[in-house]
Amino acid sequence: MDPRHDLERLPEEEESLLIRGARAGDRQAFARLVERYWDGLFRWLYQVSRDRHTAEDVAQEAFLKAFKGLHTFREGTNFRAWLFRIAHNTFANQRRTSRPRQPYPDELPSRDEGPLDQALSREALQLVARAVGRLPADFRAAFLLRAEEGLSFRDVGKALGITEETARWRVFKARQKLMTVLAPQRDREKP
Amino acid sequence: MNCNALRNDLLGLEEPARPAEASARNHLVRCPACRAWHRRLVYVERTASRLPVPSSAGARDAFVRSFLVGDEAAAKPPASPRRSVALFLGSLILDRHASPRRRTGAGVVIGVAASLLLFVAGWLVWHGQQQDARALAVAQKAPADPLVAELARRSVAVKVEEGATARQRIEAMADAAEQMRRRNKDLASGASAPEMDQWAKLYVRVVKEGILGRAGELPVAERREILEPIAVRLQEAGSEATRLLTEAGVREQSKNALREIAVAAAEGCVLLQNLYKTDRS
Repeated sequence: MDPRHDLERLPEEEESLLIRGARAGDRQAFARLVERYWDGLFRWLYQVSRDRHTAEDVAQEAFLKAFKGLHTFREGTNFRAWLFRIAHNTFANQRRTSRPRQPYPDELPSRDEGPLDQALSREALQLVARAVGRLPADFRAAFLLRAEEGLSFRDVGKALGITEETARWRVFKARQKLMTVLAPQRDREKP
Repeated sequence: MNCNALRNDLLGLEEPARPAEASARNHLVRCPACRAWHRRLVYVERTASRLPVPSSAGARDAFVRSFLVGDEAAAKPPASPRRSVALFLGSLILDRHASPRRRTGAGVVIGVAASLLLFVAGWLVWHGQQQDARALAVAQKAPADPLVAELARRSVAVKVEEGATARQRIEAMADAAEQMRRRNKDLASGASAPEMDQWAKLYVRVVKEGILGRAGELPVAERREILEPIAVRLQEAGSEATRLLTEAGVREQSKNALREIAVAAAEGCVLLQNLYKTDRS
């Protein structure tokens, strides 16, 4: 079993305590939140930006902004969605001023392999990765928040600054496009 | 419900794997084409959630370290490397149509840059060694626990022992990590917060520098044999430290240190596995 799974099961009450501590200026507490959310945030930003440096830069900036803006976070709401919203805004601002997007890499970076990864062939991963990489950016961002981060449509909407219905529609369109691109040849030929 | 309506419904669900409506479930039972389509949808969704990305553990750790010491400037993302300058200079040298003067000029700039890089790399190595010595001195002085001092001494001994092979160094460090793991529970319920912090820092160093930092030096053919048992022990150490977090009797002030130990062990396990699995292919 992937040992990281143990770490991801930290209870929600502990998260609330960490948030309260961080709000009071406890850097250790916020560092725990960074450790908890970094991988997911980086993963999403990498898929959206297709650039490792951009993803790392935006993740760092987003965490710093989150630390400074913790007083605006409403307790009881979804911290993950709130954090991704900050990251999304940061990325959108950066995209306006920085270099053009990188093409999606042909060779996938290696990743830590769990049992599921081993079961999936590299070729299949490559195929899906390419198809996801070719989705329009807005659809991709919404789809990955749902598929990777498990955010509800409502929280996807909050993270991206759109309505719940628009979030649902973007995920719908992303799935539809992926299913078309990844359909076996005979399915595509059907009317 | 016809096939198109069902498929559109499934595409709009939060959890397409589990359609709630009875009519959708009934349709899937009756229609093999939609069942196959549904299986593919679930597969694509799951695969997309596990697409590989490069590791960013180094950036995360550096960020956390800077953040913890309140160094906002260092924690702020550095300017992205301007690859375009290197590409521009490289293109001038390689471009047959560029004037000889421009090509020579670009070559000189690259030469100077390379010398500077070598100087900086040399300085970093020297500086790193000085920091190592200082950090180990701190590790030796600060904790009251004799095991910590012993481990730190052992770390230094392995470091300076000229004849030690990569295998000997790694195995010595793996033994050190294992010994430390056996003490975690006692310390978590008895040690002071600063002692626990020192303990966790030393454990992280043993794993990161002593084991992971050296693992790449092992001959490819020997990696699995040497690293697999170490990865298993690290996995156990990670799970155990995580379990301790919820155990009665563990001091609240020890929990941060335990988390650091758990993260270091878990990451260490995964990175080692990656190393010997990747090299098998």
